[in-house]
Amino acid sequence: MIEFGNASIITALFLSILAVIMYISGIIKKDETYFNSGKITIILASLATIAASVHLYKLIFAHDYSTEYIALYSSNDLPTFYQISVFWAGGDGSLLFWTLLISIFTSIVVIREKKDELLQHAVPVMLAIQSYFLYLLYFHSNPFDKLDFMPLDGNGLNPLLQDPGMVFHPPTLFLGYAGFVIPFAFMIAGVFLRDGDWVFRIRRWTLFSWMFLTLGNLFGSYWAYTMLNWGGYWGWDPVENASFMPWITATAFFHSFMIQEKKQSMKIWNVLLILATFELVILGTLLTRSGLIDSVHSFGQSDIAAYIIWFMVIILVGTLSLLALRCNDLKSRRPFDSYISRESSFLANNWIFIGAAFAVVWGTLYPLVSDIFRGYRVMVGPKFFNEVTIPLSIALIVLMGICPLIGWRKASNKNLKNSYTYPLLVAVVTTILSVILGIRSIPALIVALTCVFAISTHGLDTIRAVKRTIRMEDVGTLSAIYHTINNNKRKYGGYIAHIGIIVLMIGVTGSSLYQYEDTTTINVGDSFTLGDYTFKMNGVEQYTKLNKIVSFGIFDVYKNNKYIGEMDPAMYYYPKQDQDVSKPYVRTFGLDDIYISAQGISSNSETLKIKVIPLMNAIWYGATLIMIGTILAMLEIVENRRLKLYEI
Amino acid sequence: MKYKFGLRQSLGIRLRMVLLMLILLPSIMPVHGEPVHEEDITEILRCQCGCTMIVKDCSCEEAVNIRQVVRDQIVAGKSDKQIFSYLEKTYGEGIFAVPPKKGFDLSLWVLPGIGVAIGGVVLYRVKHNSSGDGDVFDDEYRQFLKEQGTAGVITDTGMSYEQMLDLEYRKNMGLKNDEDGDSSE
Repeated sequence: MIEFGNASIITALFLSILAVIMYISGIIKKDETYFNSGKITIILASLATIAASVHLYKLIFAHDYSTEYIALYSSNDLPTFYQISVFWAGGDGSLLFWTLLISIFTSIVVIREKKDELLQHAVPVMLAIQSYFLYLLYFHSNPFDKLDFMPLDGNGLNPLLQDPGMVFHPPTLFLGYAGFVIPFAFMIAGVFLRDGDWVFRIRRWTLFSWMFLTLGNLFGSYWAYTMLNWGGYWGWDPVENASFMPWITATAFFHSFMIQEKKQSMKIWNVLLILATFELVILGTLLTRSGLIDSVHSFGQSDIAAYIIWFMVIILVGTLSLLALRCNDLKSRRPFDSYISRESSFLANNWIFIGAAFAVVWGTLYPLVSDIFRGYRVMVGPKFFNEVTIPLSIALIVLMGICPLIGWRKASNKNLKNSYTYPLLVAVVTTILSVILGIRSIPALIVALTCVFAISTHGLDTIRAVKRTIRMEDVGTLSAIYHTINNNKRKYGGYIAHIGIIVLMIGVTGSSLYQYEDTTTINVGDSFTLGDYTFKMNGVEQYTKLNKIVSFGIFDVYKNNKYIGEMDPAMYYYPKQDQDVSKPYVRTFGLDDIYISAQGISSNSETLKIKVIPLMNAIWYGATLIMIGTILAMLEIVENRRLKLYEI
Repeated sequence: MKYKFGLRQSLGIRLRMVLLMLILLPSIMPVHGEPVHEEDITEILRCQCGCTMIVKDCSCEEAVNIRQVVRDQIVAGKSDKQIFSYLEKTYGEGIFAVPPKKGFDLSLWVLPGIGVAIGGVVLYRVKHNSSGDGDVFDDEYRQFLKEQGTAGVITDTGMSYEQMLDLEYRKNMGLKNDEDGDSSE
């Protein structure tokens, strides 16, 4: 008898294909009945996928080790909380999770989106992708595959993944990945129908996906920082890059979207950006699942690489062929008339974003290129990515500063003078003050100059708008700020996200340029001093917690001989895997993060890697601002206000 | 009516552009210098335990040993080049986590720059080769920007920044726009 999980997947596959047929029939026969039936079929397909997912959880919590996937990633001693992560700990489960999200999104789209031709043509595209994923799940990457024996216990979850960060990081990332199916489907429908409205319809979905992709990357960074033993948060690993690449192209899209909205320009470019974003999402899954490129994160070898590559080729060739057919209908107006205009600053921003995306893709795939042409794989480490992306990031910050105040179409001399005199002055004065205060690092000064310039232009524009509100409404400052932001959520959401990026950039710069570290062994009763901080070891303790033995040293921390707190860097021993894992202890004191990770521990001493990392918290604060800004921008619905007047 | 920059205005704009370029200039300069310290060397070395991490960050025994080798070489007064050469002899080419800027590997370093340069040429061509939209579109676009009430100066509309802010405010508040904004700057 067919297993329930498999039955659910095959049912979902059957229903998805049926729904595609219904929608295509509806389009050909122009009969609403087909769409209504198709909608019900889509919801049933989602329910079948949900049933498969619930069943997998049932098997996980029941410790059913006759299911190979559960035997590989779970164990009797695994705490209940971390059993949640087993679902996406391996390639098969994560593919089911991704498929689940696509099917739910498809249902939401058919229920909530405006019922028009664009939707009717977008849904079959989403369903086709959903069907392909279900096919892969059932035939090539099935989490319900059975062993022909019943092990007494499973292998257990990798101890490094037994962390709350890993409960949140993959789902948020997959929400972002799966969400990008919707912009892609609407883009195809829009190009097919010659309907430029598609960009407006996908704006919020793209923001939604982008927000979760950002959140997923940040959870991943936070997990790396607080769980891994190296005291960093971004290692430019191929799998990390895989989630960063679509993030860049999607960010470029938000900006070029505004040119299409305002000027009916860059239509083909926007199509290509959405295509690139979706292709990079698929490339991400290829890198994670295929083992094509060495990565600390990959799921290991899998036989679905060829299927994913074919999928990418079909998507690419199909979209470009459609684009070639519709090329004459996508004529754009000239995107900008003057280099000194807001339009050109958006274009320049896209230029840099795409340059950065290309550099990251190229660096990530280069080991493979080297293997193909020379027979051996080189490693492309963080130094390459830093050297290439840091200058581009700084250029982007400068453009971010120019953009809010420069005029549309052609900025006048007066505009430039009014807009940039004060921000430039503030930036230069701050930089000089930084030098006086002792900052000598050229990169740090460049970041200070550009970031302060960008913050100033955003601030100046906001202050002017708030002043205007106060004058027009005769209200208090706080009320005016609220009204100004509330009346233009999209603009100020963007501004808040920009400030978030700047704060994050300051955090990245401060933490990477000014961190210092040492590795030492401290005995009980002894002290060790690093910079302004002194660490006095008071003792060693040990206890058993769930599936691990925890050993930790107890340290009093002093800053300039003043007691500021206690830190207990621990080592976990997992008997099941016979593996030691260092659990770093991170605490923030003022602007500094103190990061201590245990390298070894005995009954009366502990070997520690101690890092003092300034401005680290700015990264998380910046990220929070990005989230707030994105949510605010999502609250505003942007309609195609130009369609009637300017339709080509 | 097409706006033309006067000589003085043009000079002012150019001076500001030069200022902006001065800000942008450092962004194209390399941020990292040549390796001089242990960390600068170990950040471009690949750990040999198969973990795919760089020696600077890895905690495994292999990485600890390599760090010690680098430290010893620095203490012995060796230059960066001598240390790299020693490491290559001892561990082979696979010790490096970043390919050198020569031979086939030069393509890794050069292609992103070429890509960005091609992007710049495309931008230039977009500006100079595509046809304009004529006066009809100029009028439409001007009107559209007024309707949008975008807070920015559009020279052709003859509206000041303050006037545009007014328009933006009115638009957001759903007020009828009774300011035509035709006054010249």
